[in-house]
Amino acid sequence: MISCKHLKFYYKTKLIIDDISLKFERGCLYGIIGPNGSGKTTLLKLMIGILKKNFGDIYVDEINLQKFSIRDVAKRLALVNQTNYIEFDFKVSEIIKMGRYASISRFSNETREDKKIVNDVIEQFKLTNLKNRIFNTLSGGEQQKVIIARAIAQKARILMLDEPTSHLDINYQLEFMNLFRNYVNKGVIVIVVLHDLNIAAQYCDKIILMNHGKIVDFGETLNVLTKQNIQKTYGIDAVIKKNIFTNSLYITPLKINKLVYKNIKNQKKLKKIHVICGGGLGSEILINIKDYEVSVGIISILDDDYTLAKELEYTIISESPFSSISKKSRLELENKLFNADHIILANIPFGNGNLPNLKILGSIDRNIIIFEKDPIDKRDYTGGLATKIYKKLKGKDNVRTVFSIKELFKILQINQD
Amino acid sequence: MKNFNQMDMRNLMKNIESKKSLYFLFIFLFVPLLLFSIIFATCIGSVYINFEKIWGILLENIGFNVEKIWSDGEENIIIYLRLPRVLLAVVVGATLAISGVIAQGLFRNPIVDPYIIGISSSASFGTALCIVLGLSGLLSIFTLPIVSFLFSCLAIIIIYNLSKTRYHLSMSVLLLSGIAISFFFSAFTSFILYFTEEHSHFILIYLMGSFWGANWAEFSILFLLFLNGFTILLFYSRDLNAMVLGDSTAQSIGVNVENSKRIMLVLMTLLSSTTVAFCGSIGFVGLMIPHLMRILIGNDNKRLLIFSTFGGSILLVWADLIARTIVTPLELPVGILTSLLGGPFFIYLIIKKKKSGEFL
Repeated sequence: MISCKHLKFYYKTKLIIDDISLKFERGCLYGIIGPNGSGKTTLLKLMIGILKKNFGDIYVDEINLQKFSIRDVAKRLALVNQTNYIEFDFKVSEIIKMGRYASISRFSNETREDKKIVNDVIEQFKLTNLKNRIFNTLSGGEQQKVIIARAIAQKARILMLDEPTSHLDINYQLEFMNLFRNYVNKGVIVIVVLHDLNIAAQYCDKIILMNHGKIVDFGETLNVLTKQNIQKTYGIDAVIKKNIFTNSLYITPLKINKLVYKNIKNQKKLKKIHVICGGGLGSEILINIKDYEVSVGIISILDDDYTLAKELEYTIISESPFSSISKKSRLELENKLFNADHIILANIPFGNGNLPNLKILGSIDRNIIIFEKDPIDKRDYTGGLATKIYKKLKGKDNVRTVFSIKELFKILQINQD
Repeated sequence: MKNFNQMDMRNLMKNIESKKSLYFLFIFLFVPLLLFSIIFATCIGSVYINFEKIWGILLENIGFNVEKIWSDGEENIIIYLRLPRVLLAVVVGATLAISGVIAQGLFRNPIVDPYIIGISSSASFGTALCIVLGLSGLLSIFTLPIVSFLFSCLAIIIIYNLSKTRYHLSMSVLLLSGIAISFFFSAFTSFILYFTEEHSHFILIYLMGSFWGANWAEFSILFLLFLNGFTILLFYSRDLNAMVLGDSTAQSIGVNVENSKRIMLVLMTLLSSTTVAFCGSIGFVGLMIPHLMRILIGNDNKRLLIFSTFGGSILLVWADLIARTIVTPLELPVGILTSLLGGPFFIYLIIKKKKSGEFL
């Protein structure tokens, strides 16, 4: 077991780790996630004693880390660093053998047991064919494998890895994560710094979410990987769903959110946009107008655009599927339309169900932008009725027609990056 | 092309690096070669003295009763001139070579040697200063080594403090500040040379590095130093291996990196500054020998230390032999010879690295 209490670390005068207290227990795979520069690597290096903390205490098996010599620490904790460049040519077996250094006295050679451990690890990692090769001539994935094997050869009960799967292909990622899972099952504590949230969600039992040297959240993966947490730390909107194949969460980030956006939303009076869309055809517009106060509708609750608008926390005027538009919804829509700064009509097909949306637009004097990708007669399923209303609408003074999404954003002054 | 080279190297190393063939190489190549070099170099000189005579002289001096087949003059040449000189070359070669191994390991750079961080130029300056001020006899034979060691220490202390941060010892800063210090001391030495006419020739020859005037006392001091340094370094060779993984990884596998760095830095300074004190700065041995051994036996530092010892000895014995015989009755400073060898060797390294695509 390893724990830290009120850990603080300054680099010059900058606070890198700000009062962190954590406890890691056996039988758990821990993931540390957080944006670059949030202090994940520093935390690992502090816990293994490579960096000297300014305040706080670290305990390994209830004993203060300071009481251990460097060799004693190496028998209990193993670390895989982020970068593993080696200047000189060393053979794979020589590198793995270095994992035993802590157990061998300076004045003696490795024992038979050390040799056995090294050989076992080489076999276990399927490195037998590579063991006489020079480390620097291996591929990135193979090198990482050797480095992890070296850490395993330390036979430490606590294994810490700093982004072990970054810049590796998917096969290696899964292989390594499964490997860590096996070691956890054998009673090793594994702590992994990860950048891939989905890998973290799939494999980790508990997640530590860090930002600015602090712990944002710590606990079960399900409770930590929430929309709010991700929004708070990474400043992005994400859709989080359960993956039906793996039964773990999967996270789909949406377009980058400007970090200041929340504040602006609270302080300034935002421009209001109403979007008439449906059938998933409005998604491109919806994702890019997060800086506005957006309302959507009238839309069926089975519609893809409905799901998206809900994720983006927009105001939605909705109806049950296959039912006609109620008076209440109609009044609500009129209210939104009268107050909107911009009204956007997406490139949607019209049927009898959503025809009222179009009809209402005719009586509105606000700014209307029609986004027309395909000519109206191709998406008219009302026998010409919609085309008639649409063409009349296009002729009005307050209506502008755009033919590309770029043009639309130009009018709305959105930088699409 | 690169792949081909790597395959070649790998096969070569596979063959050589099995333990048995290493012992074979050691016993049947390096040890006899060194013995032969010593004997050969002792025989050759302004007068040729054959092996039988040398053997007799040696036996008699240890206390055996042998039939005297040599003249007193020959005995004097062997005992007071040639033997100490050859043996000094042996031990200086060994010392420089292991200092080179340590420097390359510490700086994680295969093309540095201990001189690069100003050890030789500060020691040279100290020695030159001593000679000019007429203090070289102050503590008899120990004066020059002590003074040059002190000056090297001064340089190392400055460099060390410059490159020390709260967290670790930055080897790149050490290298940079070492180069700066090196130039600084060289300037002072040039200054002395420029203004002291009577000593300048002597100092100049000394600076070029030679075994001229070698004696048993110098040999004994250096030999003892070498023996101790070598033994300690053997125990630290593992730390040097681990350090190739980077400081933090090395520490995570149980190596007290900062401590080891300090110990090895001090030993390296002590060893190479003493050789400078006795024989001036003999360049490139510390660079060439470790590098050649790397190609031959791989990069394990323990083996490197052992094999470099022999490599360095053999090289300097031959270099000195050539230096003192090539333009008889004159004598070349041996440093000129090693630099003559070293320059092209360095260029060879650069070309080789360029071909293998390391400089892109």
